[in-house]
Amino acid sequence: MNYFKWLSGLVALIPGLIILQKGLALPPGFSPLLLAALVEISCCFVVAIAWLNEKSVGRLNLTKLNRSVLLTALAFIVCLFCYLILLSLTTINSPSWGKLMSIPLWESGMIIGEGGFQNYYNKYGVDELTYLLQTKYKGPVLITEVIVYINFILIFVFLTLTFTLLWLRHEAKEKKQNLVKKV
Amino acid sequence: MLTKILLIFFVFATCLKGLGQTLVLAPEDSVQIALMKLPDSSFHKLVEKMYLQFFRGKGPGGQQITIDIMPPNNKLIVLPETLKVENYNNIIFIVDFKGFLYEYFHSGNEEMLSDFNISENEKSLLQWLKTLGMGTVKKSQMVREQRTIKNGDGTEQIQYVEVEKEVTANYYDAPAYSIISCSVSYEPSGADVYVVPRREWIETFKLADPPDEKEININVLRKLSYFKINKVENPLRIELNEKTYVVLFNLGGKLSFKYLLPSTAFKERNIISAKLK
Repeated sequence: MNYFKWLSGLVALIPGLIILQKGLALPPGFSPLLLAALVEISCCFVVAIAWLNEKSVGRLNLTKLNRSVLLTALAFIVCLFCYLILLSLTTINSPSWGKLMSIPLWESGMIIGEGGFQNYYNKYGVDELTYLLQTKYKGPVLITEVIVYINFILIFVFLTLTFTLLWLRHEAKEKKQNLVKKV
Repeated sequence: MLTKILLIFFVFATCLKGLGQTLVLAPEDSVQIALMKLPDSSFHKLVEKMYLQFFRGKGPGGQQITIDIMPPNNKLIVLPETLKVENYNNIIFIVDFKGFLYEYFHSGNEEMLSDFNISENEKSLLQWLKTLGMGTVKKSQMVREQRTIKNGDGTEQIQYVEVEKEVTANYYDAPAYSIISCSVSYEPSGADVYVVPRREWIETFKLADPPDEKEININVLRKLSYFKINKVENPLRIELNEKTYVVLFNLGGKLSFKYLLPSTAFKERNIISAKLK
């Protein structure tokens, strides 16, 4: 029984569902529905490719598979850390207003004075910051959103890929052992 | 193999369905921009475009006339003499909130628009529309009503009559901005109250922050007239966005300032009081 096959399927499906239900550490203002759909599509795509090629895994090199598993696991950890850093860089709070707000990764187009977005938020409030971002920072906000979305999706794609490769490795190993037995 | 492909297709189709619902982009939301410019909730300052649409007949043979009624001086408007309103079975009054608000009157042979006088009922309706991301459509509509008529022999007869009624409908998406009810009380009563967003106070009017009495003269007050509250009640109840405001009280030259920070998280801040020296 290859448990990794089921694990990769679960890893591909469950995070998307949790995002849909709970938001799962999304920055404020991001769409859980969009992200859940993207995560599901990407992860299911990974599993589907492996599933369709299940019969030809016997030809795969075990050493290469081991290396790929380690690399994807490492990529998952790197993406996770990058996301945590991105989250702290793109989210601000203010004791005066008590609301988490998403900001772009950089300031451009309009000089908003000393202290940047944080000071602007503290001084002028939630709706002024929203207005500023929607009118003067459309480009940076969009690019930041795309970066955050991609980073977030990659976390789960690499996690799914790790389990999928483990499943393929297990299959390849079993096939080789069967071949040896037959010989 | 076929089952696998079908299953994969099903999963993809489900995901794409979810994605498709999300990728619908919101329209350019001028109401949001308008709301940002409206600290005192007096709708008079919001309308940018106004027009009347007259409809005659239905289907392809029907006729439609649209009249731009953007007024020159915010005063009374009389419709063109060539237009015979009675020939049209449906009249729609459309207002784009950003500049001014008007009301359509149809009385006898005279049709005109006058300044919109918001009644308490309409105010709550408009407020509700505003929370929905308001756009207001005033529409005259023929409604079928049931009436009971007494005959000469004492029997009752039910008749259906087409009656023209004015209805208000809303459009637009929900705005992202908060609308918070605030209360401003001040002593003595009768002062002019200006509620100016702090950002505009500093950036647009280049006034000192914290406010300085010496800077405020008749010219500055004239510039700030856009933010003057058109209400005399005390305490003053106003709907504001979640941002910092400078509240300026002026009683015959006696000035007083307060910051107002309407908040959904800290509701105690939504009530302020001031005493003029």
